[in-house]
Amino acid sequence: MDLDTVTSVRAARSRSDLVLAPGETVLGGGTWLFSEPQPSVSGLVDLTSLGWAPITISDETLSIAATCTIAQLAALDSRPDWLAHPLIRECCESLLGSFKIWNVATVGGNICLALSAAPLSALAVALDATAVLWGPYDSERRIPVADFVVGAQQTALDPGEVMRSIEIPLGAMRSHVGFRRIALSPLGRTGAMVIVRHSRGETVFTVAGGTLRPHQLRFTGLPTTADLTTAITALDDWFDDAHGSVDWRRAMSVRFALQLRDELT
Amino acid sequence: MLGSPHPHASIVSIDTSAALALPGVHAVLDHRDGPDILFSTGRHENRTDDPDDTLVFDRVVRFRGQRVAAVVAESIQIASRALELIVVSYAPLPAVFDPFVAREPGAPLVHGDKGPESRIADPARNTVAEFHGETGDVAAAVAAADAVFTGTWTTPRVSHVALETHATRGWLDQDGRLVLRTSSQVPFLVRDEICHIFGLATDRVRVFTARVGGGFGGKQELITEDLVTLAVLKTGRAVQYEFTRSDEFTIGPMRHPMSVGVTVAATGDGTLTALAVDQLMDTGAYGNHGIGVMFHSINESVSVYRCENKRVDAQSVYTNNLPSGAFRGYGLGQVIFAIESAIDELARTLGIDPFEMRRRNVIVPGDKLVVTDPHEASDLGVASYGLDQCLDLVQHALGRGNGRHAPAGWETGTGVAVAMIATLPPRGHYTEATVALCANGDIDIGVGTADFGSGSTTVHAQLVATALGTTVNRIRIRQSDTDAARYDTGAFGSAGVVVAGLALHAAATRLAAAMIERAGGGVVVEGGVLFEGRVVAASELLVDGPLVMTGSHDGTPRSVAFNVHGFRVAVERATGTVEILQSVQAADAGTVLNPEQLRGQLEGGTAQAIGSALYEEVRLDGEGRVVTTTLRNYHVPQFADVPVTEVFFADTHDDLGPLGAKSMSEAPYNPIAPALANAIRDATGVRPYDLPMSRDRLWKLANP
Amino acid sequence: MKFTVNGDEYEAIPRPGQVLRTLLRDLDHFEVRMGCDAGDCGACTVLLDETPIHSCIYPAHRLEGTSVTTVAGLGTPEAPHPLQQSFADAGGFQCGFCTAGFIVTASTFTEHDHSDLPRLLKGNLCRCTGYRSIHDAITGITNTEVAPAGDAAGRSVAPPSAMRVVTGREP
Repeated sequence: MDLDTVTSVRAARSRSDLVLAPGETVLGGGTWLFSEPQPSVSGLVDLTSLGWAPITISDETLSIAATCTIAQLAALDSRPDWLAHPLIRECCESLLGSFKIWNVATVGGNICLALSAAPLSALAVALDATAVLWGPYDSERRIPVADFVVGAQQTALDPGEVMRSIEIPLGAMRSHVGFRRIALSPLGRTGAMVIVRHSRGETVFTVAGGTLRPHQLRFTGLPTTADLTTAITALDDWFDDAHGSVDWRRAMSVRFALQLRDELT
Repeated sequence: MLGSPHPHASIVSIDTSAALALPGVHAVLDHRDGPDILFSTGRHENRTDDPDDTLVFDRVVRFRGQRVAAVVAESIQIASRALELIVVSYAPLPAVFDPFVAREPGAPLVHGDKGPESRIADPARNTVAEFHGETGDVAAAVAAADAVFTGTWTTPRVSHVALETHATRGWLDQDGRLVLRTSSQVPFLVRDEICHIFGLATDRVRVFTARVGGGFGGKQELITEDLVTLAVLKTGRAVQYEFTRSDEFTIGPMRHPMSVGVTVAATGDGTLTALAVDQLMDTGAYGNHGIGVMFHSINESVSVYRCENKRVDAQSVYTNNLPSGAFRGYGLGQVIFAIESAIDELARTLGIDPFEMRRRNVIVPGDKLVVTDPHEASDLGVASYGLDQCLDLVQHALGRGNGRHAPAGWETGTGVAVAMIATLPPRGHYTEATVALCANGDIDIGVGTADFGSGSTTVHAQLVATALGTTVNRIRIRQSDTDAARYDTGAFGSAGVVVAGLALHAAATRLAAAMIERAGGGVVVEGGVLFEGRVVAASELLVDGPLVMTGSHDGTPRSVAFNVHGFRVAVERATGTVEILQSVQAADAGTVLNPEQLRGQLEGGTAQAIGSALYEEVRLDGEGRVVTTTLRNYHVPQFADVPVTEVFFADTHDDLGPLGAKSMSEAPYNPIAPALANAIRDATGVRPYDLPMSRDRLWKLANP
Repeated sequence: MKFTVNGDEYEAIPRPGQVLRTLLRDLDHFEVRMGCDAGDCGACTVLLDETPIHSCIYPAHRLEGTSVTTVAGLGTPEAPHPLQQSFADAGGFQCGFCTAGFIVTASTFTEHDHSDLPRLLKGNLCRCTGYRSIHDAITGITNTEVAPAGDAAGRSVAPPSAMRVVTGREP
């Protein structure tokens, strides 16, 4: 919908353009921003004109620009040792929006919006990704995405900061993974999602969708049923809305985690 | 439009001066500008069918979001900024949100200021309508029965989600006539009520629709037209008002939520000896359709069963929630959900097959239709009967199966439900249509019915083309315009095929006869009359003057149509997931005038009903605030959610309809929820009583 | 800002914060519908340089140098796109409001995509049909017939307005 309160739009072309004036907000794909009235937004700074390469792979790191579209991410080819590669597709398919939204929506937008159902936050957390944040005066901050998303639509972004990219360690891409998701309808908005990643004797469960933010539960080896169940039910931010009750989301998450653990054995 | 932030309040003062001063603002309207004529947004042939409880702008607001003021400006952007400059002072009043509470003494009164002329049954008990009736002795029958089942079923608010929102554009034409283009099912009724509210002569107002993007009952209302009329009359300009999708969820009409208690009793051989229904419905802050839906909901749902002892209690109650309104099925679906579930459970208790249970107890030809008064005079009768065929068709199809298997470990079950519906609404449904021969051999038809997806326009063209020996593409249609036809009550009550269809067919038949008479004999063919080996062309026939015939129908007497739906489901108890393995519907629609379109109505009604049964609920927060205001939070069935439904038509002919046809557009919706609930019960042993039967609720029921 | 719509060149300055949908309607492209204005229903779908997008959430300021195709640009009643013809032949609509969005979206599908329709069409809502006739339209199944003169009643005749609806020429 038209954002009637917006009076200025500028295309960012260099880092210095990312210094925001009062009332300005950055624009990625816009698929969420333009879907609701934004009464406090009077200016847009379009990030897509910065020309950041969507995906860069180095020896150690898979780096995904914040402006990488979901379609570009989903199209990333696998490598022979990337056991975790299918997780990318499964998380992209969990997006409420169809392939048409993938064409426009961005990875950075999904993570920074931090909706509880956001599948790419869950993906980044599950793969132990680091968020690269650009601040004013060429400052840069790196924090684990697991610490970046702190609540529903709440992130650790400081005023003046913009997400530049997320960096996934290639070691994570080489781990065994598993994925489960359920919604109230076959292709509907996520009610509960669990991802497991196992490598070098460590098992990491990422619980998302039914909690306000994604949570990492790390275990040495494989957890017992009691330990895993307790850890999940003890999470303190289960919530309910039109996409599932608290009881159901919690029970589904426990069920999924146990199934995923059993698959690893 | 500025809406009330309070669920119940009186407006103490409004200061619109700052808003009016904003450049680009043409007018700011509020209760000081509106006419003082009370009306209802609900539209019927008889305006007295709905209570007069609504004003264009009221000094008392009765639900969150109710109109307080409206800004007319050059653009939506300017109008939105101007809204922020309006200063309103309210005196909040006590509010009530639960119909069970609202009907009790001492509850805040929503329309306590209305008198008997409003036609509200009892404003002092927040009751817009109620009914209590009994035939026979239900208590005695229950006491003597071999099996009894009692339960309470609930249905939530549902939004129609027609893809096109409510919208109206109005202007004054060069003769100074008011013209309204609107997304409505009832252009003539809108015209008449606009004239009533604003004191205009009917020939000074034209209302028309273009193609309407869905209605489902939600556009059997006067929702945007009154505001646009006021704005046009005040400013002299062309004005448009368009609901956003969020408006549809917060101030648009909703399906009436209901709580329906049912008691059924039977003897050991499955003969139904008692049927008692106790229904409470929340009509919201205004009574549009609050009377009609109540009476309809307890009519065919009850009269489809022959049973000597019936009791019905029904009550339609005001609350300070947003208004409910007409919705496909007009109340029947909610009560049928309860009754068909109860009958299913009773059959289960007696060990009787559910199809057999229906066969033993549904009406048969020759039976009178009885709710609670066996002597009630009615124009509704069983003019044709295909319910037996429908039961056979569905039973056979479910028994045959379709080869789809449940996933490993899931429980499977089947369920069925029946539904009956009157082919027309009661108390008259009128149309007057014209059919005229054009000089080039085309046929011009003028008919008032709006087509919002029911396919009635296609059928109208088919009927006329058939009667006049011509092809469909020679039919020129002028429709849904008060200038194009003399009258049509409107596209509701599934009336489009029967009422306008009969009128058009009659007019076309008369035109054919007149054409033949002018030719001196012969038969009508494309372009003219075939007589003595040559085609007498239309232009020749018109030499002696125009050939225009009129046909009319007043919607009485009325017949009944039947639907039976069966499901086979698989249920994953551990997650609450239901997968529909097989979906079958048989419909008795009399003569099938357009098989593909009729199939589409059955499939579409089934899909919409699957939405209501499994997914959809407009949630409020207990204080009248709608929480689900976007489609991303209100799940309308997607492609992935709807199974293919096998569709069957009974072979019947109804003398009361055109070429033997019966209406069939609301009805396919009605049996779905109970058929699905019955299938889930069959699969899991657990019966859902509340809609929607969402995964999280089913999981909880199955894993207490 | 220069761009084309259905092959016609335009020069326009969008309002700040304006989306493509309202810009197209400002240019009299009323075949682009509003179902939700939030990217949830797909009624507003257009092609942007051959890529289907929801025009109601696409920032208009990004249009420079692009070409937009609406349903009206895919074909005309006299020379319809094959998919438009098949929507008419299949009876693939009832009220017709969602039809433009479905046709534009499906115009990008390959035959391989026909086995993946639930996923590919999760961004297009229809409230009228139950989707079976839309499936038939996309996969090329014909469900309508042309009736001989005087013999239309009882046949699966297509709506008289079908070609106008599927080409975005029905007001």
